[in-house]
Amino acid sequence: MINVLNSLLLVLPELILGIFALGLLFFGVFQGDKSLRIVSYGTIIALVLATLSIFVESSTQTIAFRFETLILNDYYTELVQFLILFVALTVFWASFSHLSQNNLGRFEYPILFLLATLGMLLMVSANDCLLFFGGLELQSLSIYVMVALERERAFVSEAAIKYFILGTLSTILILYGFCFVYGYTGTTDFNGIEVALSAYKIAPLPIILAMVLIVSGLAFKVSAAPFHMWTPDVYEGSPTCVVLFLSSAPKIASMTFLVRLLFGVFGQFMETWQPLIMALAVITMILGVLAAVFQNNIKRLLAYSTISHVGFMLVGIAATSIGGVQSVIVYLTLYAVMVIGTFTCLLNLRHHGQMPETIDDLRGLSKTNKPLALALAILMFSLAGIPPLAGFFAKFLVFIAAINTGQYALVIVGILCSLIAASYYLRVIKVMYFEAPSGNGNVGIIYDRPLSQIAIWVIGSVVVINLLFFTVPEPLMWYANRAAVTLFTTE
Amino acid sequence: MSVLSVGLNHYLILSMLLFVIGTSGVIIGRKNVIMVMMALELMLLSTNIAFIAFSSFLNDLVGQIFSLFSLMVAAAEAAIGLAIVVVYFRNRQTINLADISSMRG
Repeated sequence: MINVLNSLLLVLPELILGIFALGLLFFGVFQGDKSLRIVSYGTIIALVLATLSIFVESSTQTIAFRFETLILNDYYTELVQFLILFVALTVFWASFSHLSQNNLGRFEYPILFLLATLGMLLMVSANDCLLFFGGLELQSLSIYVMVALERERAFVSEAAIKYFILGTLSTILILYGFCFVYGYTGTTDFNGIEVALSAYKIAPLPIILAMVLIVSGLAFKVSAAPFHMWTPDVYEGSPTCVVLFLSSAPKIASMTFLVRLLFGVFGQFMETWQPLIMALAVITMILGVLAAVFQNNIKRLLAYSTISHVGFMLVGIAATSIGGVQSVIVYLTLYAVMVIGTFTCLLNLRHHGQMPETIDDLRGLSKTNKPLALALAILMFSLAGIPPLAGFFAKFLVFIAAINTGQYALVIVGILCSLIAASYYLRVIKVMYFEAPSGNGNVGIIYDRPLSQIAIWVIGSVVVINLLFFTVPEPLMWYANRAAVTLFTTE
Repeated sequence: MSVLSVGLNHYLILSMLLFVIGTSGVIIGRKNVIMVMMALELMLLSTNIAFIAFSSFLNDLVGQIFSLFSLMVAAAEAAIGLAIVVVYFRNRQTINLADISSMRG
């Protein structure tokens, strides 16, 4: 009995999210769309409780397997789960007052949000191919529906079709990879696979094939080139609330799982997968940066900027060291913060219900809405990686980790790419600050709607984090280091 | 293994063939979305064949459980995919893949 309770205690966040999701669904079905407000508050309560419950479970044990070996809890999963829940909470808090303006005012939205978060938590804590696959599917199926939820717009359903087809394709690639791993090692348990593979000095052919399949499937999920085609279309087509979510939390889940898989399960074949990751990193950085230069649509620009940032994170993985993993975790956290800030700014820019589509729509924003323009400018500087801002430290750590392990070529490509990247971030700032609100004869769009209380809080704290991260980087660095060390000692 | 008896390799080759057919269906299938979804189903089922073949070869039940699990997921996926296609058809009155390209760049 104690054992069962102990097991349940370790999946407390997942349990809370699951119970709340089902309960709120039950409530929503009977009450209809007018229950949106209550369901939203319920979602926030569930996310807060789940975040708090991580501290409860962390006080019990350092490393623990529960439900046979299905679930793993260590410093790494704990930190990542906390990040995911925190990001999800912030995203939901920032966006739920915008749901009805975006024709998303249906009670299903918060419930799908909860289920997707639950899927991500399972992806992170899974210690078995089967459970990981379940979490991945829960996450992606919920997000397909969230993307398609705004049914009346053709763009939205087009984005949903593209996302669905390519997302399913990537899931199947991962599944086929697992299939080969299972066939070769006879088990689906990650520790079992690691033990079975420890007999080999060089990676056997089926395992190489499996690695290629799984890595390319996950590359789809984190939108690394050449598997990035869905990203710009989905970002452009889907509602900004959804993009805010799908550009932050799922990226953390997939990227951290990729790290765990490569360093944990396939840890001893480092020489085999390192060239693969290096190639992905180089292609992703170059393609993301070069394509972004020619974008006029602001969401497409941010999509390509996501792709290039993913490339920088892959440099951290390719460093194959504790410092590299630490830098990836720090990068993911700071990137999520920046992206939440940027999309919350976009979400709050409105003119007669219209959101800005192209970069030119932001013309002269500094005159019509000073605080938002300032916030957006700081975030753009941070994304570009201008020194004392947070974005600079993220890149700095990644490059230092790569230099320490001798990956000079990767670092040179990375620095060149971030130089080019600065040009398109600065273009946004130039348009906001140095162009008149009305040009070319058409009436300038004036985004002078005052910010809501929530938006001020979210954007304000994001900007403060970006500005002041360099004064207190230690806590995040320390936690990321502890997580990274866990990953290397369990080998 | 005699030529006539069917072994693990035959199942794996069958599964791989189906997988390749499915992949090429997704990549070069330009007719309509339903065809692409059928190709995706084919890929999923090809992994199931491999899973079950491995499971029987290894005398281990996990593979069969995995294939049941992925069948269930495939059903959910097909439901969501078809729902999205219905929504798209209502907006555009077509499900031709060549028309699904209004976003470029």
